[in-house]
Amino acid sequence: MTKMNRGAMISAGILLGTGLGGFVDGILLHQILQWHNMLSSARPPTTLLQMKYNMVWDGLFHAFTWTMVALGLWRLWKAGERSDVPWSRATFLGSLVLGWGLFNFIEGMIDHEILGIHHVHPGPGQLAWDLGFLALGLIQIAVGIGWIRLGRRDATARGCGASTA
Amino acid sequence: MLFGAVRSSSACPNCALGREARALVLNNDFIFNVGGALAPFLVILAISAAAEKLMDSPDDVRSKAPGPAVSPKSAEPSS
Repeated sequence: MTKMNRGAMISAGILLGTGLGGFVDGILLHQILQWHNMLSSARPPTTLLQMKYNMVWDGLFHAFTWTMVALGLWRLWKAGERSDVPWSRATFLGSLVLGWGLFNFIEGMIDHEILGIHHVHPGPGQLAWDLGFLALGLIQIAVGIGWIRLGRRDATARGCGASTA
Repeated sequence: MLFGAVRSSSACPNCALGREARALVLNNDFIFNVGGALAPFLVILAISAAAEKLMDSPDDVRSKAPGPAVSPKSAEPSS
């Protein structure tokens, strides 16, 4: 039995998971809870000017996450056109979680730890919050990889064996 | 009416504060900051591309031809 190619599905899922995870960060942590903004450690939003400055940077951040979602949708569409890509729920959902975890871990490493442009929850105990964010990312990566492995036996391409409208 | 006109002329996007904030974005380490904001996404794009290549290794290749292996048209009897 010949194996099928899951790379396109995984790639699409990673990009979509990254974009959606970025939106969770931006909408929940930046806007609703207002724990931090993109450059809130460099310029804390304590005046209206600094707030608007951070708002512009949050907008740019959201533009990047939107681009990741758009790229992921395009890759998913291309994967759906191929007969050698299994249309596997486990592979796709695992890739989404993997992408979200990669975002949390890599964004946490670069922006929180290396550049220090913002922290998850600034103030006392901010290192613990940052490390918790990294740990969450690693857990999501592990769960995502495990879920993807569960889908490795799926071999049905999109539309095969399912009714089509 | 007059009050509305005054209010709209001082409102963003043309308000002084908004202009000052946008100017600050461009004039305050813009390249460094945009690099920091963009870097995680670029790293993940590279990982995504690598994952696609890795999972589509030559051993796994069956066919990369677009469309279903047996297309509905070819399965139908020709008229």
